Amino acid sequence: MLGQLAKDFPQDVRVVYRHFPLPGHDKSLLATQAAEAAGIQGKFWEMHDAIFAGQATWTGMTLDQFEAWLKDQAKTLGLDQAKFATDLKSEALVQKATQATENGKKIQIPGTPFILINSRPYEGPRDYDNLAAIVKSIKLEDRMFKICPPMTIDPKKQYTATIKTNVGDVVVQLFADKAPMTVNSFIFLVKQGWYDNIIWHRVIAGFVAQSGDPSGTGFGGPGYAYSNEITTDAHFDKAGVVGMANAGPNSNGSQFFIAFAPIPDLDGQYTIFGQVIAGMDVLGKLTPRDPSAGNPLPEGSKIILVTITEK
Amino acid sequence: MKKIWLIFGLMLGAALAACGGGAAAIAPVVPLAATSTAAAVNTQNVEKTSLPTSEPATCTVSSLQPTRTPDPYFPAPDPKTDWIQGPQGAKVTFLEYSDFQ
Repeated sequence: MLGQLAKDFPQDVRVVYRHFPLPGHDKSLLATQAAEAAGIQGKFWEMHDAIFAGQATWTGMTLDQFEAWLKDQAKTLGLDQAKFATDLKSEALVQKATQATENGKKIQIPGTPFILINSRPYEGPRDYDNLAAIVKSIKLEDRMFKICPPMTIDPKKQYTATIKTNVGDVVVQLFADKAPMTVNSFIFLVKQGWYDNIIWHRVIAGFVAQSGDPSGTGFGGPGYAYSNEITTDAHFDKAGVVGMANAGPNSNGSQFFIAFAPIPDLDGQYTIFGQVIAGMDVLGKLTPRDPSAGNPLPEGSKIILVTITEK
Repeated sequence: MKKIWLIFGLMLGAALAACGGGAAAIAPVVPLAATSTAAAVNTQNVEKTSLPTSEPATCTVSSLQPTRTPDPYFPAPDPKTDWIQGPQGAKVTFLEYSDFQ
């Protein structure tokens, strides 16, 4: 799993393996020694992968049978078999494996596998899609802004956004008068290319289409957050209302959504900053995608470019 | 979507402000930081033509990842003692303690 991430994100992911042979497992130490013995000959990861891949085969073996199985793997991997056999039982590797158990106990590793992501213990799901999503989110940090956007819009002017997608254009009238900070941020991000070539990561028929996260995970934001701008005369009372997605009243960032229908339950919780004036039919063509419904997810329709006109 | 929040909350731990997702199903999207990083606050009051029901909007810079200090329990990766795949300057490091059995 982690090895696959290292292959798929060769510039961005590093995988570090530390042994913790569990005391109650009869073949843990020998397996550790075998990986280390292969490592002496430059094939740690190959043996690592072989041992894990063959787990179902060797779990029920006796220690002698397992040792023979390990030697077969060494042969398959093209190792110097005599050297492997010697190293496998060497005092140095026996001590190294034993010490790894002691180290794990000392720092109270709760079980295996135990993963840290950028030095932080991680106890969430370890499936590929979730871990890849985390990688993408952390990568997004490079694009985050270190300052809030300067106020550059004139709330008295009319602003229109054209969202060019791979299935057509959606035109949104922006409410600069009702939500000036939100519209200012949106236009700032448009000018920075933030919304270029990103997916509609959450598209739920009859509810909303959501985008604005370059990581495509639903976790991403621009590095700043701003509070809601709720007004008395804006409601989720029809299809095409555009709102800012948030994680609470002061957490608006870059993600936005467009309502497919009236959703009065959202009133007062999400800033309304626009209304679709053309292209609702286009939104209906977006690939349905619900990240909370489990994996695998379809690729997702894309925003190609957003442009702003000002009057 | 709560599952997704859980993932991220677990990953970033107490360093980030957790959010439960709330009753509304709009995605909790922004990992708003409550980090050690000093926040730069940029308050901008703007005249509105409609009546606001919330306080004047404010904007705060947030940081996804707080600065790390050396950890005595989980020392930094060391090519002399650890098996490592991937570049040293990688943005993301997965450190795994594992048992083959």
